[in-house]
Amino acid sequence: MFFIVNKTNQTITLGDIKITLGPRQAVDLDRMMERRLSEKSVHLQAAKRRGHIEIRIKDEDKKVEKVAYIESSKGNLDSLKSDILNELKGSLKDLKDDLKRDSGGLTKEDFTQIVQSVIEATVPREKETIIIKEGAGFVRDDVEVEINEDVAIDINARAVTKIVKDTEIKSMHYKEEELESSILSNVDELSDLLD
Amino acid sequence: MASRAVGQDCGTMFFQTAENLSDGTIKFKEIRNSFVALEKTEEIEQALSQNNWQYVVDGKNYFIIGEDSMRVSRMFPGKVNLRRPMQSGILNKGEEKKMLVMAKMIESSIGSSPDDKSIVCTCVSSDPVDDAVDNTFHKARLEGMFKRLGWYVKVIEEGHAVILSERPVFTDKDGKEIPYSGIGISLGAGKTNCVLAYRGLPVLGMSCARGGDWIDKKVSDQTDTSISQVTNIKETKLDFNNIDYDNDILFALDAYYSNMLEYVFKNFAKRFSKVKSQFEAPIDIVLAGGTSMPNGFVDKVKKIIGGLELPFEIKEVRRSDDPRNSVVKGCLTQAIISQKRL
Repeated sequence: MFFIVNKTNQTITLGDIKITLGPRQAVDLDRMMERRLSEKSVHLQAAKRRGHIEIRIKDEDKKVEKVAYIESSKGNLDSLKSDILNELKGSLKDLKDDLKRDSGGLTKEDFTQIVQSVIEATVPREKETIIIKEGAGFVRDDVEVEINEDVAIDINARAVTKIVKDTEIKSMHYKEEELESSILSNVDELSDLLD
Repeated sequence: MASRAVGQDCGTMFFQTAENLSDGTIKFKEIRNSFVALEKTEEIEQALSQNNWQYVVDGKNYFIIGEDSMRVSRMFPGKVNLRRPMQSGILNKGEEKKMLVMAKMIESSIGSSPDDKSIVCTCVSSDPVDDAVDNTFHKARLEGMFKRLGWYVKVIEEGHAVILSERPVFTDKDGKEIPYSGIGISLGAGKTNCVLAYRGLPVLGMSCARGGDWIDKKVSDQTDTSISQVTNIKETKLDFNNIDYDNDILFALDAYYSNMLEYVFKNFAKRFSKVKSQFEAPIDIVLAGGTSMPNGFVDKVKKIIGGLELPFEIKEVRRSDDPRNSVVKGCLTQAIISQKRL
């Protein structure tokens, strides 16, 4: 399997192998063309170098990794949208009748808020890729997490301080030796080279 | 107190530090990077004190660290497990007490930084060619452990440290000598690290998940001998100039050393070809690390690479005069240089 994953939020086209990938979409190129064509693709290699595309190669002799897609196909979305709209229309009618019967109940603001919540909950999401590893649970691959290095170091420093709290070194011996060294002449020579 | 510059190598087998003293000598400290845990009781505390064993105590357990952990695990085989904070060149993800033990080793070996100009330089493996584990998390954890003690931290690649301490020289076409240019290889217990450098700067680095531990495991599997026995024979009897081929363990050690070296050089050659580095004259290779210690190792390397097609010419293959301390010395060199620039 020769999977490529679009790691960006934009559509990427690889002209030389005639492939277009939507945001976060993954495809198995082995199902679409010969492996040698995928490996030779200049556009694919360029996108990989720029970090826009990730390549995952899993051959049969290695651990199997399956990739499944949840495709938000347009047809399904349209029918879902129409079902939800019908349901909303019905609910709105009921609410309107209720408001007529009991004017001390829902306010106009409450009503707007409810409708807004329903709309937010039903907005179609972008295409998602779910990686399923054999023998393991599934891992969603649709979120990129980047941690600033300095932040990670600070977090670790605090974590270690917490870990060693209430511990005590009772005794710790090191094998020690003192040796002559040319290290300082190395330092001078290197400093000159690097300046 | 004066500012300090310290080199540190957190190896899979040994934890080492190096510091320059005012008389020009270097002080090395070394401790075996292993431990055992024992439940906290009065009797055990008494035994620990009587034997003058090295240990750390928390609310529930004693953690016996270094050489003493080997002694304790040999005394209670099957009851006490020898544990290691590091595995395959990074913090051992399967060991829940790794951070505690490592933090205590750092605290007891170099202590807190005396001021904001003091620096520690440590090293990590280069990008791996054969496993998916990268160093990002390991590096951040290691840096965090030094930073909490107030140290300014510099991190370099392990193979680069070999270059800085061993000073390979490249002679260009016009006969001009360029120091700190060549290939530095650190053959450790967990990994083998290679760096190609030019004028002291790393050009290309890679690491392989094959080292001394890999050889020991393979030989142990093939000869049905315990890993500790294999390690012992490797450290005391292995001589590549004089292999007793009737001895299964020595024969297997010779075979797996060859296999590992071929694997390392083939992978390095691949990386070298990819970056299209231009070295128009032969390059020096310097070897260091505990796995390079057996007699005849340099000749073995020459023989192996003689049979390979490499994308570069080799001028000389040599081993460091002090292979065990080479990496930590390189880290100290970098620490002193970086301190001058603070």
